[in-house]
Amino acid sequence: MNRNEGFVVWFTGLPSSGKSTLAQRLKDELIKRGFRVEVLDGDVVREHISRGLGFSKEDRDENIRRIYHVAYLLKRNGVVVITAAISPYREIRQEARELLKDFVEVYASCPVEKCIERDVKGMYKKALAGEIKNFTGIDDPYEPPENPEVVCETDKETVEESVKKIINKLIERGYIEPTDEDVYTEEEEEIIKKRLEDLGYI
Amino acid sequence: MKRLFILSIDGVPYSLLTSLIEMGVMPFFKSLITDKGFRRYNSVLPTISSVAWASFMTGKNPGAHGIFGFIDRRPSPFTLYLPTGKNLRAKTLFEIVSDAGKRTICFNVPMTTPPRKVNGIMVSGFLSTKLHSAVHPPEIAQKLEYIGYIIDVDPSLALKDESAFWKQVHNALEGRKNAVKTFIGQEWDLFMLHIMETDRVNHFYIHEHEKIRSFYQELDHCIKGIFEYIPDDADVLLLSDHGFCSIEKEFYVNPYLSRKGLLKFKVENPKSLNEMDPSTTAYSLIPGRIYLNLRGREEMGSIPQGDYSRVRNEVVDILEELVDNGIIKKVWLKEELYSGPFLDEAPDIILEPIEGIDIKEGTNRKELFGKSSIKGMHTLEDAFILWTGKELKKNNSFSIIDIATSILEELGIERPSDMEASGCIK
Ligand SMILES: Nc1ncnc2c1ncn2[C@@H]1O[C@H](COP(=O)(O)OP(=O)(O)OP(=O)(O)O)[C@@H](O)[C@H]1O
Ligand SMILES: [Mg+2]
Repeated sequence: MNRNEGFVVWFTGLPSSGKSTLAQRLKDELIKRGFRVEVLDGDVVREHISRGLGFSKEDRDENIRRIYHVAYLLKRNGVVVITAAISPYREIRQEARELLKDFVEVYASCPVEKCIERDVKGMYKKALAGEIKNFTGIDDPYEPPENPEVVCETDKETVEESVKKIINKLIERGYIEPTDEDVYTEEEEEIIKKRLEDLGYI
Repeated sequence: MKRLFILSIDGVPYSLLTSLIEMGVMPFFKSLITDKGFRRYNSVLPTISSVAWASFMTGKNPGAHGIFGFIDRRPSPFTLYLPTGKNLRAKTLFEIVSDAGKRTICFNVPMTTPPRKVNGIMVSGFLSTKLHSAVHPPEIAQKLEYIGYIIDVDPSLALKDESAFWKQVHNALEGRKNAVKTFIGQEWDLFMLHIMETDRVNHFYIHEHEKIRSFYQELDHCIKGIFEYIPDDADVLLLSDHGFCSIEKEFYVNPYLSRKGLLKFKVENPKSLNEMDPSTTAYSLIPGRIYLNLRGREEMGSIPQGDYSRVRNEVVDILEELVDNGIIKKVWLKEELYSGPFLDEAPDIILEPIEGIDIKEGTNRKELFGKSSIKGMHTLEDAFILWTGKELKKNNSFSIIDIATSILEELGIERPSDMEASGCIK
C-alpha cells in the first residue's frame, strides 16, 4: 500500500446484521492507533449525499457508487474509510473493490431470523406487515459476498471478537501495525502456548 | 568495509562441544577453532532463550529491555501473558545496523516476533506460527515456503513419534541451510542465522549419548554446508545462549511457598495463579521468578509499600533454607541482577538453580519434587562463543549481554550511548 493513502473497510450485510455497530467500534480502535477515520454509514449517506434515492436496484447501485466515490477521495487523502451500508449487490461491490484497490470486504453474516429478532430500527416489522416495500432480506434480494476478506458471524461472536478478526486481517494485510496486545490471534496463541508447554517453558 | 555472519546455535554447551570434538564427532567445527577465539561464557538469569537472545540483541540487561521469561504477568488486573518482540522495549542490533544505513538479514532469532522492519530481511523465530506473518518484507514468505523453510519443529513429536521428530529436525536444518544459500547473494553487512533445533534435541535427548552424538554429527555437517555459502570477505561468529545439563529432578516453587504459608489460594486444588487469595505474600512464575503481593502494584496486593523490604527479606530468609538444603544455588534480589526502566516489572526475587534441579512453577501440584518428559535443563555458565581469528576475553569473564558492542565495533558502527554491553574482544 502507498503509505500516504488510507484503505477502505467495506461492510456488507442484511439490515440489523451489525454493520453500523462494528463500524463504530472499529473506528474507535483505529483512531486509538493514530489513524484519521471516516465512517460512511448507509443511513447517514441517504440523508444527504444520496437524498432522494429510493430502493430500486438502480437507486441502490447509485447509492453505492456515490459512497465508493467519496471513499475514494478520502482514501486518496490518507483517511481510513469504513463503509456501513447494506450494499446488497455483488456486482457493484466488485466495482468498488476495483476502484478502491486497498479494499477489505467484511461480511456481517447473520441469519435473517436473527436480524428480524433484533430489528434494531423496527423496519423488519414494517416490511413483514407490508407497510414498506423492497426491504432487503424480506422482499428484496441480498447477495452474500463469495470471497470476503473477513466474515463476522455476528449471531455467534461478540462485537469484540468480530472487531478483533477485522483488526487481525488489517495487520495481516499490512495496513496497520500490531500492538502489544494483538500479536496473536486466539488460535495462534493456543499454538504457541502448546509449543511452550511441550518444551516445559511455561 | 567488514561484514559479519553470525551463526547462533541455541543451547549448545561449551563442555559438550569440547567432549564431542575430543571424540572426533565434530571435525568441521574443530577446524574453525582458533586458540584465543573459543570461550566458555555466561548466559543471564533467568537462563531462558528469550531472555538471553533479547539481551544479546540489545546489549542490555532484562531490566533495560523488558523480557524476563516466556510467560509474564501484568500485576493489575492480574493477567498472565506470553511476551513477544513487542514487549522487547529496546533497539536491537538489527535496527541499529539499519539506522546506520547498513543492510541486515536475520533468520529465526527468538523474540523477533513480530518481525521488525529492518533495512533488509527479518524472519521471526519460534514465537511465530505462520511464515506470512513472520517475515519482513512480506513477499519473501512465499520464497521461504518454496525452499522448505520451517519456523520450528513440533516438539510434541519427540514424545509421540520419535522418527517423525528427527525427520522434522533434519528438514528444519536443511531449510535453514537453504535460506543461507538463497539469500546470501543479496547485499548485507550483518547476516544472522539461528539454529533452534539443538535446544529442542537437548531438551528431550541430552541424556541419550548415542542420539546426541549422531545429531551433533549431522549438525557439524550442516554447519559445514552453511560455511560453503559464506563469502570469504565475511567474518564469522558462532555462539550459543546457554548450556544444558540432564535433569535429576524438578523443584516446584509454588507448592513450597504454599507450605511456608506465603502463597494462598481461594480453592483447595488450584490450577492457576488466577485463583490466588488476596492474603498471599509471594508467588512464583517459571523458573524461580518470585513476586511479592505488593499493595498498589498487584491487583489484590496485601503488603503495604512501606513493608516491602522487610517482607522481602523474610521471604528471602525462608528461601535461603533451599540453599542450605542443596536445592537451589543462590537467592538474588532484583536490583542485584537488573537495572533500567523495566526494573519494576522484574521479579522481586530470583532463584538461581543448581545444575540438575530444574525450577518449575508447579502451581497445580502439592509435592515439591517430581519428574517430567523434559530431560534437559539450561545452565548459566556453559554457553560457548567462537569468533574465528579474534582474541576473546577470558572464559566466563563476560556474558551474553556484552557481545553486541563488539559486533558493532566490527561493523564500524558507533555504539549507542545507552548500550551496556562492554564487549567480549580483548
Ligand atoms: N458480533 C456483533 N457484531 C455486530 N453487532 C452485534 C454483534 N452481536 C450483537 N450485535 C447487535 O446486533 C445489532 C446490530 O445492529 P446494527 O445497527 O449494527 O446493524 P446494521 O447492520 O447497521 O443494520 P442496518 O443495515 O439496518 O443499518 C446491534 O444491536 C448489536 O448490538
Ligand atoms: Mg446500520
